[in-house]
Amino acid sequence: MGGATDCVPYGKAPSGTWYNGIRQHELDGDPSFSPHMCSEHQPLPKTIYVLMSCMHYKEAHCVTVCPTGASHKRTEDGIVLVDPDRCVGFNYCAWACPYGALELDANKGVMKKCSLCVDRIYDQQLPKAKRQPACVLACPTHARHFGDCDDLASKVSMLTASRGRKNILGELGYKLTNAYLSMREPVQIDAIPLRQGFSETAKAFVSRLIQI
Amino acid sequence: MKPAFSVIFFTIASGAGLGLMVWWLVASMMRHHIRMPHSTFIMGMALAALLITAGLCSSNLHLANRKNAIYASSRFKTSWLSREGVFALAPDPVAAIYIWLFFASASSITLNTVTWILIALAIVILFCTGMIYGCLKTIPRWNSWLTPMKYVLLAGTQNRIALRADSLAGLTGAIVVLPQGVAFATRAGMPTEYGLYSAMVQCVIAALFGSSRVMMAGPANAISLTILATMVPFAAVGSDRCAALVLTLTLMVGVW
Repeated sequence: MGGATDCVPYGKAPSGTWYNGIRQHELDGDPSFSPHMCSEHQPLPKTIYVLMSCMHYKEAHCVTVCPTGASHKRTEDGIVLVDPDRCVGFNYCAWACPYGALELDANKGVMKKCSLCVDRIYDQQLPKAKRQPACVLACPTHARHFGDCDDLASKVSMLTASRGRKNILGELGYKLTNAYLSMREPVQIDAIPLRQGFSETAKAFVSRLIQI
Repeated sequence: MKPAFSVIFFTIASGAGLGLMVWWLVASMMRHHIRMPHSTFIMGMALAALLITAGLCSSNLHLANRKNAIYASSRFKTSWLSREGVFALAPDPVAAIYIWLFFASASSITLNTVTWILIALAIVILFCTGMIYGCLKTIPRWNSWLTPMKYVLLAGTQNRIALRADSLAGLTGAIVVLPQGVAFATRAGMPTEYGLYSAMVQCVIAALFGSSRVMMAGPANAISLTILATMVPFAAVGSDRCAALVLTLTLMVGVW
């Protein structure tokens, strides 16, 4: 396999907005995140990826700070959307969003954000299995899930019940709608002793002799 | 979070204009006790109005989609920006009434009532502007009741005498002390930026603990050479150790 041949996949000066930012964090020094140790005191670093798209919070800050009412939370399904016919492109909601989920579209002059693929999930033309946000369908390891958290029998409810949901900005008083699943318990690998005692070495030698 | 230049200009200009307006109005109510020519008052108010208007116009400059600005007051219930927008327009009719009363030589009580309404409105606008920044939970340094307070107080420092004296002092400092400080720091064998630090820190110290208001405090020529001569046997010129030793020396000189 070669490297990526297209070094500038989006052209020389890409313009547009991110709907679905993903931030990479390298954690080190915290044994709870990284159980495998380089040495006794130095845990191995662990890379985690945090999804930074809109979380559609219950009391979304971008909605309360918006002066025009362009940012709104739909009453029927709770999706936070920006109405381009009311947006003044002030960029103030971008300051208020803890995820950086809102960006100003320089060409259209309005704020753009993740819409939870509102066009896809209600599209009657699509087969039922495909009525999900594009990011959920695209994720090859199925790390993202989509469903109704209020319906206790749904797949997402069972997942959150079994794995727990994590509110990473609880200290700012945001109430969850979308959630992060808690990290899986890391797989414990039994440490291989580097130096065996004499009796073990002798036993291994004898068993090898017998096998020959 | 890159604030547009027009946002910064709006915050400063409208704050300064409103603060200036408040003080001119206070002065106008004391017109029987202080000598103030009519023309001075009108000029001052015109400057304040100019600053406020310039600020408001500039706040519209960075809107990417100006045609939707008509909705900007529709979320008065939740948004401080919306509240600020509503209150920013409220003084205009009041100011019109004030000007009419002023030139119609209305009774003192009527004029004073309108004056107080204008002052109150100005403070409300300043508070709302401060809260635009203060209500953002995502910026913990701003998310405090101190933010609107600071903004109101900052606007309150805008009066004619302070504005003039502060800008003159600032200019003098920039022209004289800044290059001098850098040069003296080099001469004392210190990293150049320490010249700037010493120019800044000593202003505060001299203002708080200085024994006389006519004594000048600033970086001095002779002392920098003395410091170099003292430091040479102990540390390499310009090294971190040299800086640490000079700071120790400064503290010791200050204490004794």
